[in-house]
Amino acid sequence: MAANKEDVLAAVVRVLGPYIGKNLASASARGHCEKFGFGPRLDDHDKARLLDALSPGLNVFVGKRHAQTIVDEMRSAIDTLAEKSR
Amino acid sequence: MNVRRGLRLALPLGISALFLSRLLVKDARLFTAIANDRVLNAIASVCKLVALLGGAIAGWVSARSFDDRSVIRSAWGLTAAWLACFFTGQLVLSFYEDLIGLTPPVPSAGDLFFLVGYVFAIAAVIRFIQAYRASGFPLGQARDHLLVALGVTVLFALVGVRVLVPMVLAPEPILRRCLNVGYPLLDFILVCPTLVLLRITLPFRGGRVWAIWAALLAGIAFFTSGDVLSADVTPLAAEGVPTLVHLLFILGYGYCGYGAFLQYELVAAENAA
Repeated sequence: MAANKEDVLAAVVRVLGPYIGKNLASASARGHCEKFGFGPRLDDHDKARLLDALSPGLNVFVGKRHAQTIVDEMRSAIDTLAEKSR
Repeated sequence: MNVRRGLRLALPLGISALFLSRLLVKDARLFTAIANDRVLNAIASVCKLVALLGGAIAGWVSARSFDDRSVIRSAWGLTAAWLACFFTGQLVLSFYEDLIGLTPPVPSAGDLFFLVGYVFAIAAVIRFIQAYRASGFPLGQARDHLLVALGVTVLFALVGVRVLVPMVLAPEPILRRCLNVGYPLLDFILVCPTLVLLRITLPFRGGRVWAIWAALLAGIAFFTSGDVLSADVTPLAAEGVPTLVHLLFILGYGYCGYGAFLQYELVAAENAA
């Protein structure tokens, strides 16, 4: 299910912001989107790539297990977006 | 949570108020009859020891929560070793000052632990820089970090000559002079990578990771100021210095311990849940 890139970024920032700050969360997620050349809509593969790219950096700050929990929260927030847009 | 937030403000403010009052109104009845110098020394020792031991344990538990052989694990392990060495050094000083009522000799066994602690602290900060730069988050260019390091080094070289030369020439025994110069010198060496780390961690403002670094960096700033002040042997500086030095070290060790505790909360406590 494709979702609007800005909505996905907002969902990522909402989850990640309390840990690494909203500005860095936004800059980091946008940076990955640009690097991967994503368009205005992200499909499931794009979303998975974005989350996979954010995960290793998080390990450094919050530990592997907690990073996985945060990634799961982001995935859940993005899935909720997709359900709303149906 | 509100109690904790209150304590976070009340503890440093209360301790600062107590020691600053002693500095400003030393003849008040509170300080002549109840909280005399010996009592204040004991309060200072307990605060420093609790903060350092708590920080060392929190740092060690945090380190164990990261992957084996990862850079960040070694960084937190070195932080734990640094705080543990400072704790042991402080324990030696407190033994002399509070238990047997003597001024510690210079150098004492405590100085050995403090000096080794500095080596761990400098190594820890360098490992943090390596780990954070490799994290993949946009934390600034290597050139910017190098410029910060160079700028700080030049500034400290200029300031250091003015501050340290009088200490080298002071009419003191050679070992005392070595320590008087050694501690501020190690502080300068520690502060250089610490300011690079500050530059790296600034983008985290507003998040829990920033709270950890704000506390740790404030702690380093406070205790390095304490070191420089305690090494100042000019007669003008002697009046009131011990009280202010106590306060700077309490805040320094307190914030370092609190920073390590915040990391423990972020990593280890959530793992246990």
